[in-house]
Amino acid sequence: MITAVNATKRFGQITAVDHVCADIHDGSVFGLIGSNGAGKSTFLRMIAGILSPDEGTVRIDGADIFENVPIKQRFFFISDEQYFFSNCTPAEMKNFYKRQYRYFDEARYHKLMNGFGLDENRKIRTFSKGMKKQVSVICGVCAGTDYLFCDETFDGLDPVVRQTVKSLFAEDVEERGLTPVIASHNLRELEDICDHVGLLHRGGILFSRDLDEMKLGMFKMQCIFSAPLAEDAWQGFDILRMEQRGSLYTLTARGSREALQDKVAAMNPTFCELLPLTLEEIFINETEVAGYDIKKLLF
Amino acid sequence: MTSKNSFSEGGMLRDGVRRNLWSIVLSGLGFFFTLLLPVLMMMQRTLQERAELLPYDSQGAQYVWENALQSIGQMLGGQNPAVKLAFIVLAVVCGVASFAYLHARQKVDFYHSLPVSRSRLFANNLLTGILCTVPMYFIMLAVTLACVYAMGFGAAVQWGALGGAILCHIILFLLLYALTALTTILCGNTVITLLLLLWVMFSPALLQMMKAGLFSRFFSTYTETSGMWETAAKLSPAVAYFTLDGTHYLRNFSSGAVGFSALGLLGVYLLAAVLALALGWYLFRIRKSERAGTALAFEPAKLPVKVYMCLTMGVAFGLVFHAVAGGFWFWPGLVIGAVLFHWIIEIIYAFDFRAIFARPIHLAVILAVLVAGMLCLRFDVAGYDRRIPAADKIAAVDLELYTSSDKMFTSPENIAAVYRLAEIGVEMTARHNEDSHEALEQSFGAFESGTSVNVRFRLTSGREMARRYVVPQTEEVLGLFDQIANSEEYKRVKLPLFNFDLTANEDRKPYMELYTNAGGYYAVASVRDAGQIERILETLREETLARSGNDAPVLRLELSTEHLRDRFNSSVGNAYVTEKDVKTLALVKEFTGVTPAPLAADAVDELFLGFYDTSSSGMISVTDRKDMEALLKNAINRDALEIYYSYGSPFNNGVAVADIGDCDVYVTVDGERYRLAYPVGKAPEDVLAKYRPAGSADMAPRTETVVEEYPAKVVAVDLTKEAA
Repeated sequence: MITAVNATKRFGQITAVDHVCADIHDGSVFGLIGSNGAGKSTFLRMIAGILSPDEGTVRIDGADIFENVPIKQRFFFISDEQYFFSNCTPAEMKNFYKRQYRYFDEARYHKLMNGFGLDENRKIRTFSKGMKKQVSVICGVCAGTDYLFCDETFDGLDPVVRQTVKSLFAEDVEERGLTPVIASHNLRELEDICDHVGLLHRGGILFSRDLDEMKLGMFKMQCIFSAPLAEDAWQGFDILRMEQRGSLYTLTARGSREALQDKVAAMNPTFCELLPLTLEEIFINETEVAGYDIKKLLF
Repeated sequence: MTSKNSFSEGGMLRDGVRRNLWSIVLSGLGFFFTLLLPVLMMMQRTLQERAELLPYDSQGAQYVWENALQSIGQMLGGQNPAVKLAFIVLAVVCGVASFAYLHARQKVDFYHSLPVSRSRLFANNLLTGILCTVPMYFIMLAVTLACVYAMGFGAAVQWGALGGAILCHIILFLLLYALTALTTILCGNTVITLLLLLWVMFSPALLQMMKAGLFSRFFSTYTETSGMWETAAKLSPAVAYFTLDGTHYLRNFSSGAVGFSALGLLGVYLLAAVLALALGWYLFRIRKSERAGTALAFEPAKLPVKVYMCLTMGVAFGLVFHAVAGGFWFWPGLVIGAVLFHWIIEIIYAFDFRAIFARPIHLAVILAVLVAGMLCLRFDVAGYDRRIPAADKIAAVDLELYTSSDKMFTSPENIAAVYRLAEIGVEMTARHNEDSHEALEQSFGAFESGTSVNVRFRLTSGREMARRYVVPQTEEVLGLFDQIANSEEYKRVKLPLFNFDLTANEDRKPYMELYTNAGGYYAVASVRDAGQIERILETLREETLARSGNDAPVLRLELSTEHLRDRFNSSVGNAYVTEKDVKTLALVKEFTGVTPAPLAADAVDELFLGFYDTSSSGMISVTDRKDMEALLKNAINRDALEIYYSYGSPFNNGVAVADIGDCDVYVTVDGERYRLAYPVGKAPEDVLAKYRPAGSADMAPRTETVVEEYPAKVVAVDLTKEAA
């Protein structure tokens, strides 16, 4: 498990990561979201052992990461600006990584390269941005590490490849308990892959939640009542947002599906529908509750 | 599923070397053009020239061959400046290239996220640079040696010298490489690295030069010494590299002698390289990855670097302004230099021109420190001009600055004499700007003029200090000069007569030419027989040691060494024979038939006097026979015998000549003009007085200036001007 306790990183006068506390459980896909400059990359670079925290600790299974070679054997970092040796080919990069990562899976590497349609012996500098990302992802997945840190990895990938990469991650999570930590400013991209999401803003973590928990504990309801409701009719509901247009009520409330359905049924609605929230909607609601306007944070 | 398969600890180094193929090629080309190619060219040209010469000039062919062997030996050994330059360039290029990844965030993220410790990364980068360079030198050297033997030039290879050269190259390469790596780690930007590297390589020498400039500006007694420039060169290894021939110095700074061991210096350089690498390793480990792209990677280093540069450049600007526009401009130059560099450094640190006026308090403090420091020098707060070492801590003394340490005086009498001169010099320095001539005479005794004298002390600790004093030419001072010049130690240590190497073999042999007053510029005889030369010199040595006082020379023996292989003569110096050296004169007559003849009136075409009279533009011709005979009677042909005035001192190979103040006496013999001098007390003052223009004596300078001849440097100074 990756544990950050009050992890802080300052660059001169700027505090890029400010007392962040987070637990990233093994075998889950952790999404790290935030706007540009929120500190996502800095936090990732800290958990990748590139940066040493100025304050607090960042640990994997209780051991400090910075300058800890055995711990570094357990993760692979895919930077937002990947570096490849000048004039090298994917095969040469593979050979290099093979020497650094004890459990590098060469057979899988060849299989994936073929699968993605990438030429192993072509110079990487002639690849497109997306193809370079694919090479990085393939090397990362094949490195055989416990953790995979991805910084804006889906940027520049076409939708098909993006889904394929997500499938790859899911497969590894399923098969060998890989824990991908994916930083992105794009909420929609993480929706269908993350188990857990942390929202970073101005260096601090606003919240960190399990996605299922959030999705199953919050619903959007649309109800129509034949007669106007009393002012206190909604007492007993944990309402986050509510709109009324005539007899149509649209509201977002916390609670399980069953509990909300039972409560609304007791109010004799003409029509009632419970809809699951998108990740974006959940975040809008959660951050509004926390006093922030998510649209300003992310979009 | 993954499995442990191909993990390799040593693969990173192999990868590194493979990726730096360009530096291997660069090294190969560098050593090809500086070592193999020039040697091949020389061998081919030599073979061709020898083949052309052999049919009609076998001696010439042999000469060409031997010359080529010597040159090839030098190229292979430590006297090949092109190879040294190649090593320097490669040390800088590979040092920067090996660690330049630290300056790019993308690369830092890549390398520092790998499961590799920083120590291993450091070792890997370091070794990559070395492995890309040094083996290429050895390969190219091996190929060169193979070619040398294959083409029949094997005799040129001196394995000892070659081993020394290899050791020297490797140590200097390591040091320069380590300094480059250290600088690259210290910086966050490659351009800044190169600028700082220039500073690291050459600022020690610059500092020494500035120290010399400041001291000569502020201290009356400051004098440059050879040791100062030696230190400056040693502090800048890239400069010192070119002064070395393998494990020896090419030429000693002070004496010019060759063959001095430089093993001590190389040992220090090796130690410095190890320390630089250790410091580099430490800094590499603690270096923050986020410093990529900044000017300096270590925040605490910013202020010291800025202060150092501002102070140095402030002084440099001050000295340049002073040199260009005079003393007043030293102070504006000081301020302008410091302010300008403060601005530049702040802009570089921030990579933002708007930072030009940042940290004004730093600037104010730097300026205050700079000005305070200069004022301390100006008012000699540390007592530089007054300092004389404690008498019991002096191991040796000298009145010369540029001789080697083993040529200094160590006898208690000479140490005491030089010490006394220094005491007089210190007192004179303190007073001569303020007190009148009469007041000075009350303290020092009667004197007409002063002379400057260089005093050099070697302390028991091994440290040396030197000063230049102006001393009055009082009876005491002249007596001290006489005492030193007539001491056996002086004669044995300083006179070429006692230091002439009489070795005669197939490479070299001694050679002697004889010059007399009457003979002028042309040698009257020469002696090539080593045995005869030895007998003459042995006899003259005995008589010189026995002789005291200042006798006029009648014969000059020019001592040379004939280099038989290289066909040239190198002059070692002069030995003088006086009328009192009767045994020597007898031997000279026996071997050469020469009896030194004085200048005779009959032989002289013309004799004229040149008075220092500004109202008279020409020379006064002397035609009266009696006056001519009187003027020639005790005259010494200065130009023929190479005797030069050394005011107040007989320090001219033991020969003293009188100072006749306001007049030069010239003769023309066979179309050649010569200046005459007279032994002390034997100048024909009455004849000179007869021809002296009215008022000329009053207008004559109280002393002449400049006599700087071997062995002592004694410069006469016009005290009236000094006082003014």
